[in-house]
Amino acid sequence: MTELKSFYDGFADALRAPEPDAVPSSVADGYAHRFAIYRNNVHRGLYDALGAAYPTVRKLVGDGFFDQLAKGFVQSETVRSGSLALYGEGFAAFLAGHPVRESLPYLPDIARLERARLEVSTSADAKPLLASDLAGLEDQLETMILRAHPACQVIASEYPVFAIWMAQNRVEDAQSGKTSIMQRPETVLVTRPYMQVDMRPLTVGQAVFFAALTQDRLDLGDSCAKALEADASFDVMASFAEFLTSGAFDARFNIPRGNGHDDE
Amino acid sequence: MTPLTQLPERAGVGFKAEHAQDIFAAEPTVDWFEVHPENYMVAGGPRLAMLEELCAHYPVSMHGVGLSLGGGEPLNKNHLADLKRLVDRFNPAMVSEHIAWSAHEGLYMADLLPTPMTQTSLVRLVDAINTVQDFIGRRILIENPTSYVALPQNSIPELEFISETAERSGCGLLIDVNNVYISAHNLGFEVNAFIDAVPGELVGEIHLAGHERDANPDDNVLIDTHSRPVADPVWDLFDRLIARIGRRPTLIEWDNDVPGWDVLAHEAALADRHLERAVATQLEAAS
Repeated sequence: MTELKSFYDGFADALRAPEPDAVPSSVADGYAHRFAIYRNNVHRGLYDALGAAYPTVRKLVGDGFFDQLAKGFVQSETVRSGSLALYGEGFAAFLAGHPVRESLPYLPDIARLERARLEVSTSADAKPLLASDLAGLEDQLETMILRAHPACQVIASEYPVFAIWMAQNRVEDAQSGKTSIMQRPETVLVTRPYMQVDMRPLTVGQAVFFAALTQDRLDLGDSCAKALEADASFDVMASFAEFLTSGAFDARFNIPRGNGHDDE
Repeated sequence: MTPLTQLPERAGVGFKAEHAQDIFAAEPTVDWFEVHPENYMVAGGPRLAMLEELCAHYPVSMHGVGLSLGGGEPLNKNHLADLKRLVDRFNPAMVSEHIAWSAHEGLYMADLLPTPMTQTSLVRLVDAINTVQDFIGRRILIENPTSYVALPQNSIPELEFISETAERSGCGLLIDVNNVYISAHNLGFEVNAFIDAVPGELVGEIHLAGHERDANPDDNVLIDTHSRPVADPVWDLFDRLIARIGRRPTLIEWDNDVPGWDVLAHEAALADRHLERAVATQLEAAS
């Protein structure tokens, strides 16, 4: 048993080792290049999985430099699941502590946005709240309490992450050429209406409104008041409609103040 | 326990999301599909919806790559629970895994690494397979490995090792003919003798795939790339195997440089012709 254990330990250590020609003692002399096939499979597999999860980060830094980042990230990992379907959690935090941040300060936030896209794409299925669900409840909207749909996240950044993401992921027939992106903070709503990930930038008022509703658990009336306080230009009805069409709310709502309607 | 196979004894292909349009829009001539359950270990969303759609129309085989059956540590309980959730929900026609390891101290290595073939590792492998079979309530198939290096601690020849594992655990064998060809080439064993000694009654499925020669000019080593059409000598070995044991569900694997749907469907049709010819040969021999 100990002999087996030392085999697995030695093999795994040599796979992880940063020097390219580390070979475990279980592999005969002269077979370093054969062992390198395993090493290459492991590292290539992980770098590609990370690249698939963060395609825009990869575009922004280029394939070669992305591999360097991936190599560092892989070496920093202490846990890695046998399914790579949600691979790369923690990559944004890794980038935030990496020198690349000096030249591309927005890179960690682009990674956060891409992670949100992946998580939203794979979150639990649930009915979204539709405008039609609210028919006949108009006079009770103010006291209504809503929660975010499981496939919904908000990413707030000091940088124009939505504009940067869009510029890197243009549809092919759209006009190409350089666009200048103005430095400004952006907050992005990421949702999954009709099984497709959708993003839209939020105004200051919309961001405050949605956080008040889904995080502070305020009712619709109080959330609107809070949003208007933060942003006098906040358009209540248009914004609420936009959140509904994005599928941002879970269909299960409640009206707690004895208005005769309680879904829970 | 379930029978050895519930897949049709015809050609299937690995399901790729980029072919979904072609597969669902037309009526492809392929009889079944294989997926890696690891790709579907998520809570919900379009990926699982696509698998739902696939399972509604075709028999599906779940071929795992992440259980690390041949590893040096206990199976990961979360991974096993995720697999069971998928098996319970989609009721696949087959569940299979590899004789390989990929997990070490909580880190998944994203490759099928070589399991030493000794009496001790055999006992551990049988235990691991029994754990899986008991947990998901099904018989599984295990696939023979691709080898690049001979491990000095190996004391049991590969075919004996995998057959004995199947006998003791009650699982079946998934014979990857391309793996046999590559391993025989890389390690220098006699490939026909291996194919001729495969215990047919244990074989529930066959895999075919393309391979490539490593770029290293000093060493003639073949790599299991799944990036090309099936090579001629692999077709010959396939014919040799099915002429003796009869036809089996046969998968075309193509995971890198994935071609358009028509190319893949053509490769599957080719495998079907080989399977039909094997039946004809056997009928002729019997009459």
